[in-house]
Amino acid sequence: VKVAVCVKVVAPRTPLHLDPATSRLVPTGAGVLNGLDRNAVEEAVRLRERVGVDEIVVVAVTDSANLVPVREALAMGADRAVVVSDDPVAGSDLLAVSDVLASVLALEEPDLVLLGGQSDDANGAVMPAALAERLGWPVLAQAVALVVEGDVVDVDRQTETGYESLRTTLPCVVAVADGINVSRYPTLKGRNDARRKPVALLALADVGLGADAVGPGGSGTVVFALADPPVRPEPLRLDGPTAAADLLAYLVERELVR
Amino acid sequence: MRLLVVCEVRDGAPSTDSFALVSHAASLGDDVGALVFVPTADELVAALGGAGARRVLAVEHEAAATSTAARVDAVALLCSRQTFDGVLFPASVRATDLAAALAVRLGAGLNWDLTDVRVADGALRATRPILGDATLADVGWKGDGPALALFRPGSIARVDVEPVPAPTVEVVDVEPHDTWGLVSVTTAGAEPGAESGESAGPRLDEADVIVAGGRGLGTSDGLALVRELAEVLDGVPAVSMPVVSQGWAPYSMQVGQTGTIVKPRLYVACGISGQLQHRVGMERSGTIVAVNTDPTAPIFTFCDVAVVADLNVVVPQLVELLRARRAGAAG
Repeated sequence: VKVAVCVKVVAPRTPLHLDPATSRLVPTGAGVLNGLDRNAVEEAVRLRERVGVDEIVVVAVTDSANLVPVREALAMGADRAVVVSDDPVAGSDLLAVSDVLASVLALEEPDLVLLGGQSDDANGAVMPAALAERLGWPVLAQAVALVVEGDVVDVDRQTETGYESLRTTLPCVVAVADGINVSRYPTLKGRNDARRKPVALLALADVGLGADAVGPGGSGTVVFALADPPVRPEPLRLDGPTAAADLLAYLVERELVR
Repeated sequence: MRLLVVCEVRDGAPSTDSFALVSHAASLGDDVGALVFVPTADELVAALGGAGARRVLAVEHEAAATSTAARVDAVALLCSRQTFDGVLFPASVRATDLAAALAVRLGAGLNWDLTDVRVADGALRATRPILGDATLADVGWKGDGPALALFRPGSIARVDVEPVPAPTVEVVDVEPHDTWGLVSVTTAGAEPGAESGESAGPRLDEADVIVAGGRGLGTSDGLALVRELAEVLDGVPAVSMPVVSQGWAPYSMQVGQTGTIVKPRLYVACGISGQLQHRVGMERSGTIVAVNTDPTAPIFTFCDVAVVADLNVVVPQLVELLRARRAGAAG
């Protein structure tokens, strides 16, 4: 089984700001590996420990030269990385990025694609199914347990109303939720090994795409403007021995209790 | 403006979010269709007409009742036969997969996590909170395909629109294919009419009152306090992510960015600090009451009532007061 893990480089979890002119993030320090993609890498490494995996390849699409997050995935146990790094990628939306990822995967021909169920910066959970549709494969989103036996894939997943268990066969796309595992921190040896693992840097042309496939031109959505949300007024502050009684009075007054 | 709302059906009725989205769409467009995936739409027609749907479109084929892949197929075929300016979805795990796959199939733009939609200069425009809801983005669509839009659960309020007494009912003549071939292994616990394999339970995303506990509960026993308060408030108990990570509560109880996004009339947060992950899931609630011993807890910056106290003291007191009040009312 060959596993590809698609990872996204996201802005670190510090206060983020947008450039009103371009509607893009103002860089706030180096990007990091998206949290749930870390769980996806972890699951690939655990799969290797459980059932044997021939190869784990990390796939990323970025407009930056920052390879630290990709090296992090390699340090966790992935074997090599393919990074499409090209300026026109900036400003790409779901349609464009899924196109680039699918183009890389068409060359790599993995049996299983893993990725995080959503990204820290976009909060969308839309990439897994978009990518699966491009590949013509099934998608199993929000996975909290993954078992691969032969070419049979079993996933327990979370939905709004609880868990469900689904089965399909390889090849398929599995998007992990945060309950699936606790990701490891790379060891010192892992980090040392990662420096020698191959990272292929590709341009769009290398995966058969033109600049018009990405960026605003390859995207189906547009951001017109940004604004501040309405501010909530200062809260009513309750403390001391009468706090519970005061709270009840507040709730009764607003008819929030019967 | 021709709009299609892809509805979810729960217990034989349109879900709260579906109903609200149909009514919102009806306030924007003169031709609003409500699409349902059910063996027969008869029992839904009155409700959807009440929300302002001119047309009820039903995909009755059994593959679409359970398979998201078949739904992608069905909606794509429908969009090839009829022109829609927008196709709107209340978000759920399944609807998100459906909308994202459809975007690629149709080559159409998809905006997600939307909290509002309107018409400006003859085109759809929408609002999407970003950066942990610190900024509101005004977003739109381009290209030839229909504007695909996923709405954050609980974000669209029901609009009072002129009911349509007798919407036309169209059975969509498609033979959708389940190309994904996902087999549901567990069906135990599923309610009749529920989507395959899903278990029943109190629904957080449709709750009127929610009492949630966080890391500040201290131990798994602390959850009993949350359940008690939820019970006397006729509400649903919930937790924040750390409580699920500790194994004290199931994921189905989790409110937050990676859990359920809620919008109850009253949200009581006990021992929850208010990390971004949690905030995104609940900050659109009507009235937010936060109980925390730490006066600098972030949650105190986005609540209506800040109770700076030990939840182990205040919550039992409040439970007692509520019980006494109820007993008094009954007597």
